[in-house]
Amino acid sequence: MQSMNGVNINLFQFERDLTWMSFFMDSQDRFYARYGGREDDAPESHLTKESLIQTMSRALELHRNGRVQQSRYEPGREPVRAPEDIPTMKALLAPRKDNNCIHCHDVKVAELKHLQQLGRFARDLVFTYPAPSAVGIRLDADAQNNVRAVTRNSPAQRAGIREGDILLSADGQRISTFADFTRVLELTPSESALPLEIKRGDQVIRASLELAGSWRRTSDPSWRESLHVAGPNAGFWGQKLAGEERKKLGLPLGKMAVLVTFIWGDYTREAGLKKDDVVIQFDGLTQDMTIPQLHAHLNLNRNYGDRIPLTVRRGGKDHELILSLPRERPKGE
Amino acid sequence: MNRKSYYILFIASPMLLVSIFATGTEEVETKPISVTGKIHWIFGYDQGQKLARETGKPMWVVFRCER
Repeated sequence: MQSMNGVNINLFQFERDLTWMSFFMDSQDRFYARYGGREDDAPESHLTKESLIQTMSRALELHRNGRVQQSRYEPGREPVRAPEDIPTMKALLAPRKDNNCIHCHDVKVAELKHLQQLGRFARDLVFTYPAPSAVGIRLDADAQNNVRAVTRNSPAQRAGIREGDILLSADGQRISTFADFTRVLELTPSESALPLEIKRGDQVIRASLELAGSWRRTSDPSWRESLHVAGPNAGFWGQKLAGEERKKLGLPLGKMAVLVTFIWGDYTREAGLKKDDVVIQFDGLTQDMTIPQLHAHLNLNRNYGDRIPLTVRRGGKDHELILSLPRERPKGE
Repeated sequence: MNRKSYYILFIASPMLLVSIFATGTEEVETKPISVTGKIHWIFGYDQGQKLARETGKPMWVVFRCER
């Protein structure tokens, strides 16, 4: 088990919801490249053997030429700040048996809870280190500064970026990898124009991503461990039913079918939900969802005290239930 | 500094190769080579940094959180 205990979190800034991240550096706390990160749809979307080899080769070349990153996106070692310095960290760790082990996501959770205590929390703060797809760019998994696709009607398409373009820099920060670009996006204000330098064939051209609104909000953030800080949960866990099991119950493919495996919320039991129920409608939603997606929906869209309608299939019959969420966050959550 | 916080890999073999063949040339292509021996990980940033200073090699700092 690895831990974040004692790590200088001012120097090592990255998406804390990730379970793996890396940095290529020199001996003076300066960075050549960042390597890691993911799109919503796959945890290892940009962790490939080929991309690691390419990034290592690039880091060696940069090291040989002394080309550390030099821009406003580069953190310094000072002031040193450890996870233990976050005011809410002690309370977060207290209930644990292994309470001296700080996980990566604990750092983010503690910081978000601290902001809640200060009254400065907003749900959008969960969406840290937005992936390039947030601005309409799909980067290649292997050659990670190559644009593999551009989303229609996105800031990237409006900026004229095309498939096959190579991202050289964003606001002066060199882009060698997916993670290099997410670092820039992390520090890019919601309303801004982000200048890009692009190689297209033999030409180097300039473009500007015009960003506004909630572009940081990606479509499926359910993988983010810190999401539970943002709002209430449903008080139960479960699993999406596979095709064969659906057939037996007469449930269609492509629609919601979540088998309840564990209930922890008193409010959930009071609603009448039981283990082995199959949830087929939740808060008006009927599309096929995983249990993390179902929780993410509540975390981001509902408030404590809300009443959530759901339908479960039990013993071949459908039952309508109302889940009355607790009026305030339960202690310890 | 907690010793379990980091994996640090010095890209020892390829870096050595670069040092030998890149002398005096700016545009030598750096090709990866197979690492057949055991990778030497260092568990501690300060220790890794000290070694990087002594050897002049870059560091690969890896965070791996297991839930």
